[in-house]
Amino acid sequence: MSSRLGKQNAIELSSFRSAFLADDSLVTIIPDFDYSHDIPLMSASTKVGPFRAGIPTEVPLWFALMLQQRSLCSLKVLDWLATENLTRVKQHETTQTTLTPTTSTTTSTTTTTNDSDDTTTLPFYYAELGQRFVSAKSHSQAAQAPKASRLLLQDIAQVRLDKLRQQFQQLTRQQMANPSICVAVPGIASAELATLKPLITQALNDQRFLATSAAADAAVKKKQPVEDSIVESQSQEESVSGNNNNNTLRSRIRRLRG
Amino acid sequence: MADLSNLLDEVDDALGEEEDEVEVPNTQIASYEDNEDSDDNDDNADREHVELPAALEEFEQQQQGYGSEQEKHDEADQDLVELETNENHHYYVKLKRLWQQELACPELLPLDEELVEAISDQIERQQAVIDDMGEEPGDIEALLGSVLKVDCDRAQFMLSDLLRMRLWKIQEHPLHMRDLVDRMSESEFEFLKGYGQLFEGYMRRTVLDHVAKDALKNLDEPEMIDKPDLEQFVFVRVKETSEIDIGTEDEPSIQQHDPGTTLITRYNLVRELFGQGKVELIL
Repeated sequence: MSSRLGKQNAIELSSFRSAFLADDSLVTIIPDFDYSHDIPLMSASTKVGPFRAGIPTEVPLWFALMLQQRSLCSLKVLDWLATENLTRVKQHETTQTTLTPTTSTTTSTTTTTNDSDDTTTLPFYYAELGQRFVSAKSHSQAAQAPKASRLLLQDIAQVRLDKLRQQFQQLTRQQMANPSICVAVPGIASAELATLKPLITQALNDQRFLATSAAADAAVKKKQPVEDSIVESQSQEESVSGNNNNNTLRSRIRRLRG
Repeated sequence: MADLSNLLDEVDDALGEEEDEVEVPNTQIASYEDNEDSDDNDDNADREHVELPAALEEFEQQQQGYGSEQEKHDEADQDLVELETNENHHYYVKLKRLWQQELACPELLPLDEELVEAISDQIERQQAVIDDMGEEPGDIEALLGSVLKVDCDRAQFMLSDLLRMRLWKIQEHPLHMRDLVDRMSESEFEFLKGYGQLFEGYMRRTVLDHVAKDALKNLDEPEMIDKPDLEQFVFVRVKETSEIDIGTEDEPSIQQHDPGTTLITRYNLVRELFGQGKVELIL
């Protein structure tokens, strides 16, 4: 959010916001009570309709979790959280260099893999939903191998993060050559975004700043080729603090302000 | 520095005014509660089973009433086709999108005042229903009350986070924001004026009055005005097939992207497309 907030704080905030957004997804529950009227909720696209005990209904996730806390319903396990599906996804992750494509729940577009296997897709909020379900399952009686799913989810998240980090390294090397790049990251999911986005944007911005100011210096001095000065600034990246060559009083005032 | 602590207090006051703006609905609801007669409570206890659904039905009818009036004003949004006449969910979805875009965007986005008003109204109405239901004893009523409350709180969180983010952006670049007043609401503009005065006063007291050269005292110089960094990198999702020009002066090149792809790119390159709605920023 802000450059003044610590990086850790920014990551926590964005994970909180992702979890908040994930809670709006619709899940199926089997209620244990009867209520014969609709409940007009702002956050649900369909009216959260009349409840009859034993009949599955769709409600937003936050509602379902509230009910489950008061032992008024049982959550139906999401399809993609089944162990077989997760194993297949993990297989795909470890063998392919690209990420498993993710579907956004708000749009209906899906990206297909080379296998054109419809079930190897993950929801955009797979990590948040997975976490909720795995901890919620331990409360319910019908616990369907929660440990296996939890481990699989963790593994999948780890593999995806590693892949993204490697892609990012390649990205920074590309950016040295061309400052204005446009790279596709198909299949990135909300959890990875929350973790990596502050780092990636900060690093790319710093690198761009160094590259352009180094290029400006080289154009002025005309002593060294541009590539050499960029390599030099690469080695200085660790101690980046927005260096400023301009020593006028104005720039000092600006620094005082910022 | 004594000056600095006073300054912070003044800024906090200015911010406090802004926060009060959002909390006004809550204080109004509190006054409604105080005005209820004790007679109503007795009646409610007797007709418990009839009263609660009546309150909810009334609420539903209210919503549907608003829905039918405003249907004529609806934009042709594809999402709406799937929804029933639930106007408030439409606003909720719009608020969600606006909130996400505002958080992800480096610059201040134009404010949709109608949306903010509609959501605040809805939150007020829902709070009133919750308070009506709070009078009822009984499990199911308490449950429904708390469910509606959570729903209300979610919308309120998004709204207040949105406003908080906008205020933060205004604070970051106050001099630049003077040109962008048309993107703000009136209260934000008042905030900007107050903050700008404080800021200028602070700069003068600490530095500028002590500077010898008159030419350097001017805060309005183009060099002195900080602009938000429009060349930041952002993550975008493409909604319609669009072209992005990433070429440098030496080699112009245009990339074409299909809907559904996710990109990391500089904000400048996609700014126009974002304005047209062809791409959306990812939080």
